[in-house]
Amino acid sequence: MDRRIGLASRDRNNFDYSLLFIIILLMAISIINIHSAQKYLPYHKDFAGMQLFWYAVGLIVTAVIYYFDLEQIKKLSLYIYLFGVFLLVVLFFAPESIAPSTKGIKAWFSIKGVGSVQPSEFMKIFLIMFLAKITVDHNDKNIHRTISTDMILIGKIVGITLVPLLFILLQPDAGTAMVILVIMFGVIFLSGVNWKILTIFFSTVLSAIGALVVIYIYYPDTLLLVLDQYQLNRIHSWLDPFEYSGGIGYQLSQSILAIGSGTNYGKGYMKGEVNIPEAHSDFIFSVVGEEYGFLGASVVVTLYFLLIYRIIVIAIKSKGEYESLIAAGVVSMLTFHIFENVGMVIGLVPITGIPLPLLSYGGSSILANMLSLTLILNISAKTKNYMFEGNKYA
Amino acid sequence: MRDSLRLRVKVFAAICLGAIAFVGVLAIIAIVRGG
Repeated sequence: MDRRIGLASRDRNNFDYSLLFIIILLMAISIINIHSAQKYLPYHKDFAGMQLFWYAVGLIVTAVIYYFDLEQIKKLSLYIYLFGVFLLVVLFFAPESIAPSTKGIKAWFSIKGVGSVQPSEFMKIFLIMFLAKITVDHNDKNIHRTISTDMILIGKIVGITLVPLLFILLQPDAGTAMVILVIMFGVIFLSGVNWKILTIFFSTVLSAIGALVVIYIYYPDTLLLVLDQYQLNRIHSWLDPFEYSGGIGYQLSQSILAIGSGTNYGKGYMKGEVNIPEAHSDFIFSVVGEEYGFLGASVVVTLYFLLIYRIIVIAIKSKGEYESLIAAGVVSMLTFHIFENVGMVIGLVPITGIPLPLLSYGGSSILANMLSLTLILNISAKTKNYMFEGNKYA
Repeated sequence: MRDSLRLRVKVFAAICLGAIAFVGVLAIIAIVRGG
């Protein structure tokens, strides 16, 4: 291993081909469905071609980062986290000319020749890397755990998460903020904190969610103290999309119509009939459901299940706590994205604008997901290398 | 990896895979039964 430049040796036999195979299948499904979805769209852009370009860039990033030594990444994680926070701060103060608001949300830098860049997409993986390091360092220093050391650890995790969370809420991007919170909950759960503290912590969180539901049912206008009117309207239209189908509920009611018309085998490639706004990005699963029906949706859900399962196996087999926490953090991020996105297109959860990993159109989302999965490939290779060396000297 | 972490990862894995299976099955039911 060449420590001077932070690169790790990689054996071809250690590469996780099964994980790469799942990723490539999802990429192919994405291109086919985005190509079909863009017939609905008013933009007259070749989104499928652009998505292909972002996949190529993502694969180049993968090829480079795959050879980075995880120990070096761990050492740099503070600076990577601070860089992500810096981008969010710059975005907040940036003028409209370089960071224009889209649908009332200021979440993207507009760079000529590149397109839009969404720093919060990258912040998710930067946060996972830093929280994993903080947790491992804390646990190494506090071998004999007490209530006090556990509370300090929770305080560190919450404090580190609150900084990017604040700037994401100010954009305001509630969907990404929820992903950040889920990552934080995942790391707290896995950090080794006493089960009693965990029970109290998660009971409090669930009670708060329950209280919000009760407030919504009996005093909905009170929620305007913490939500914007458009966010409250989204909840109204989620609960009764067809009542609001002429306005804010149009997207969801169209999505439910598309999904419901798919039946067993769907209408076929490019034969979708229901017009869904943003079908190429957040609502790509509706296109899959309408054009490929039960068969297509089953394939996509199965691929996601296998993807998460494979990462979990890597998390369990990895030799170090840092590697396990990164893999589990990526699992929590991807799971929430999949649950929220598939849930919102069928009306199970409110619309939050969260993309479906690797399927939805979006350069930032693709690159951030590829970066996350590259870290997983890296951990997998390191684990296999370690196991191989273990056998050699056994 | 410590055994306690391995146990937590397994519990966490069950929650995550359960969530995906739950939403996936609901989506498939919505497609087959017509919304």
